[in-house]
Amino acid sequence: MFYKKSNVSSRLAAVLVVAGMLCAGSSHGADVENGKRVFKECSACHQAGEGAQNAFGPVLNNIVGRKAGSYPGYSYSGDLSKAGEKGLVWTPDLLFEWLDDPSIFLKSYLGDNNAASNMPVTFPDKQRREDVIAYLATQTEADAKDDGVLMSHGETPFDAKLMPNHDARPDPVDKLQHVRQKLVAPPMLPMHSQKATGEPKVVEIELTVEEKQWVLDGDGTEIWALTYNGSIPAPAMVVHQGDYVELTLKNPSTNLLVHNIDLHAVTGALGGAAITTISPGNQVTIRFKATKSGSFLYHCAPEGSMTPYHVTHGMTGMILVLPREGLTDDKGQPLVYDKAFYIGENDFYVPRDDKGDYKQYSRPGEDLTDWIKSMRTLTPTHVVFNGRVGALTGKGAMTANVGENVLFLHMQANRDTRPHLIGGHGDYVWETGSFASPPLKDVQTWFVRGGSVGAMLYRFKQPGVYAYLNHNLIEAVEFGAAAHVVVKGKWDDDLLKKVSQGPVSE
Amino acid sequence: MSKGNPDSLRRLLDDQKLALVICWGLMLVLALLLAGNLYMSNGEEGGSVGELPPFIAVQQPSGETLMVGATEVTVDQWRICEQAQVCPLLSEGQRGSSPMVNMSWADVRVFIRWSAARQGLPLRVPTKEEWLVLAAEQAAMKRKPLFTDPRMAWAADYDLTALPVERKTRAVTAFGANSLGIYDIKGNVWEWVAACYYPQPGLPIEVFGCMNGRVAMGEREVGLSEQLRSPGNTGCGGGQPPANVGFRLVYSALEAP
Repeated sequence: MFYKKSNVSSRLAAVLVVAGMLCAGSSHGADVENGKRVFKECSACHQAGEGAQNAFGPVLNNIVGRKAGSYPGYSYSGDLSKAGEKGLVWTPDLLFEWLDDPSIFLKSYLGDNNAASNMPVTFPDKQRREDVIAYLATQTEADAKDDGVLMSHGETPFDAKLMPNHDARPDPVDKLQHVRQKLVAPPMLPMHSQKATGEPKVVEIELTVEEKQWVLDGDGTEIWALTYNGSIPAPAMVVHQGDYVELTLKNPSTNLLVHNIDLHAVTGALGGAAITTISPGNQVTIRFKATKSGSFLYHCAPEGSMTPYHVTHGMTGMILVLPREGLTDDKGQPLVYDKAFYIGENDFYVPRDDKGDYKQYSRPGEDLTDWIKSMRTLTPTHVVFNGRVGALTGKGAMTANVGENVLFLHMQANRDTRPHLIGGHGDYVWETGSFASPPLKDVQTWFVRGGSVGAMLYRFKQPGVYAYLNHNLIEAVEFGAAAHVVVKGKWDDDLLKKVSQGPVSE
Repeated sequence: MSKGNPDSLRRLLDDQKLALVICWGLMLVLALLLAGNLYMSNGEEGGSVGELPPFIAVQQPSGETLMVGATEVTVDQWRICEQAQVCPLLSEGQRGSSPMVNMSWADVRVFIRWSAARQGLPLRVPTKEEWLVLAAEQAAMKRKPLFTDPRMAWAADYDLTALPVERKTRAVTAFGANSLGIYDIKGNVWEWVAACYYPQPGLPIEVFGCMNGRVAMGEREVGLSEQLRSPGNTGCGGGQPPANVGFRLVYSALEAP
């Protein structure tokens, strides 16, 4: 009921195109259903169907019969625009050639060996090409297709303004106390109570996507990062089990890419990703109940390759859902922390040029083809805490005093990691982040699975400088996954003292 | 990155002002002569001073004249040694006019041995005391130790105001010359010196290598493993290593042929 009426003439045209393709005599015939499946690969960049918007690639509605490089509002590559000016109008046959290899197609069409397409994928399989073209031919501007593609992860089925609350009855949650949480830059956490007081609340939180240039290391290696609220990692949110979170995600019109949010604390709709995908210039608000206690990851999750692409550009964060009574040990005794730090570990895959130097790009998303190729090696160029080599050292070092209990929350969205505090221990460790499970005790190194946030509580007993790192020491030292904790207080000889040093006594 | 030295050395230099004034003219003449020689010879078989930075005569407090590389050894100069298949291939990705970095003390020794034989000069790096004389004009950086308990000397130098290290280097001479004509003492890279590092007082003097590390001078004195090529990586140690370490050649005028 939310979709517009179909346009009869466009539907008829589509039927004729598909019929024409079938009559053209491919060996197996085009399979629109399979084409729909194939299109999921395309949907990392393209949208089609009702409500489709330009994303990384242009809208593909009415692509058959459209002049090349002509969809309104999309900034095409110069070569594709030239092809359109030269008279290229997409037919199924031409699309069939295009999908085989877009750059070769453009070189041939324009007679220019330097011509190239920005489209990073090819479809060498002829049947898949035929099928996806047949499917695209059914996607017209006025069509309404509740067919699983439009509703898939990473698609916005309709404008949020067109979607009133289905249930007209009063929502009891609206009557709960609403509080606004001000987010702060990592490694700090927003102000919060460790124990909940009173009834569950509705915690209002706002995230704004910022696509920005970001320096990763002391060599000045720079990428176009994708961030929530301008930081890598994204800010921590803190609520209590049973609370509701009313989360508003904004994608300002100054951005170029489509974004969303998948929170591991959310129940349903792909962690929220399925209903939060927004193009630049839009915002979306969801409300979810924090049903489980634990430290949870959140990250951007558009369709296909765009998910790891966005994640490896910095769109990862943490939501801490505390038990209402606060943290407890295996016997249910309270565990209270004096300080808490949130360490976000991110892996980056910066493409290199022929000389081995890191490549530079002029806008967000321009590195897509190179980056996907680079990340598919599974060999990061950087593994860093807080977005940059050395970010949590020196001026950025974490600080504490002897006798303080410090909670360390360690987030990694993508790869496994193994935090270790050199000179200290994990007194209590919730490796998986679940506070419903009893914590491990007296741990030297704990394992944080990629896609989770581990928690560790330690009472500092000795002053000095501690290194907190990923105990894959190659990643710590050579890639940058290391931080410092500076602890003030009185030295305790009982715990450690140097007895002697000198030449070996024979 | 800035470099500095203790005030005591400045006082020491004040006592030597007269000697410096007398030597000033001599230094200029020597510098001009050497600079002339520098870019004229380029022999294939033997060495060429052009393969090294120009040398400046600097009077030491002892009265000795020390010939000091006006700049650190550059990447281009290191590459000559690489091309001779003597030095390890470490210059890839480094800009030719910048100081050579990412080489260990062991690598530096290879370069010095090869270059000294090729040039017929008793080349070495400065001692810590000689380096401090070269750096006497830079303001001494006095930072309150983070910990005063001698049992925590290992952590006392930690700087809670330090920003993440910048590893980009600039072309030699970019940080200007001091009044001695020595370039980049106050910036660009740290420098290996001829001194072993002793993390605590009372440790036995080392004769056969530096087991506790070798000293690099810059913002302050640091001890680095002689095998370390990239000290700038922020790693598992509790300290704050320099981003880059290069080296400057010197030789005693008395020992030169």
